[in-house]
Amino acid sequence: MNVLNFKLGEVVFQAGSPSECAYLIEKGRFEVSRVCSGQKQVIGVLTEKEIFGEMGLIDGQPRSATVTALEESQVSLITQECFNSIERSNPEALMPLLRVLSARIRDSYKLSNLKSSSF
Amino acid sequence: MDENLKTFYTGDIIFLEGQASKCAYIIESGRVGIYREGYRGNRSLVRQLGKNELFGEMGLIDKYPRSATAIALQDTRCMIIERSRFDYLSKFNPHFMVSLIKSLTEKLRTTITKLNKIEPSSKTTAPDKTTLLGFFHKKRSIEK
Repeated sequence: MNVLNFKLGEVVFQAGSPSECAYLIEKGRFEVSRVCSGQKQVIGVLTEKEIFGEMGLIDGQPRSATVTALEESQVSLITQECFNSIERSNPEALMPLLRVLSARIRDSYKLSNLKSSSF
Repeated sequence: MDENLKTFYTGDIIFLEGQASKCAYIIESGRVGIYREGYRGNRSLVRQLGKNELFGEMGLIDKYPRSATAIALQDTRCMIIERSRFDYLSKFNPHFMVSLIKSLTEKLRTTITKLNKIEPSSKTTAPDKTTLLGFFHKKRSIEK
């Protein structure tokens, strides 16, 4: 797997930019944020062994959020080729990806509840 | 195939948010509404599902209670996927895994779009489910 390094404040990708791969955090921390009615909103902070950018890898649609390094960090790139080979050789290895997606859906449901209750 | 079919009638609750998750469902015919339970018993519709669509799978993946309530919007026949079958498929069937990943990603995009309350950027139509594998096997080069 390809490894990339990021410095504090460096942006991995911006919301709306084209998607081609996912990232596995080897070292460091990243902030996930989006802009909501002109204001930056931090959705979460990710640390070692966590995956981000997986939605773009899967559906190729533009990034749904911006990811920025919070410190000196290192990630492994999960490319389409890499994903395809895992899929063929060891489907069970895709389970962590399913868990990540499932957790994100549950989180976004919770967020939407908070949102509607605040009206 | 040890297919396990079950019929739900209009208005039947298939499962309730918060219940333990024991199985997933694939709709053979009919329509199902997925609802979030709100305050004071207010239910809000998250999405409607039709033929060949899968629901209830998150509970099998992460073993947490149901994240939403499922109600039959018309007489509906579902194929039930028990945990043992789910575990078997996820071990040995890459196509199943990829379909699952794809369907979860679509769900997540839908929720995020709703959350953002902004128009989805240009064409966000989901690829046809039958072309799923083709989609993944398409060679895509990466930059950098």
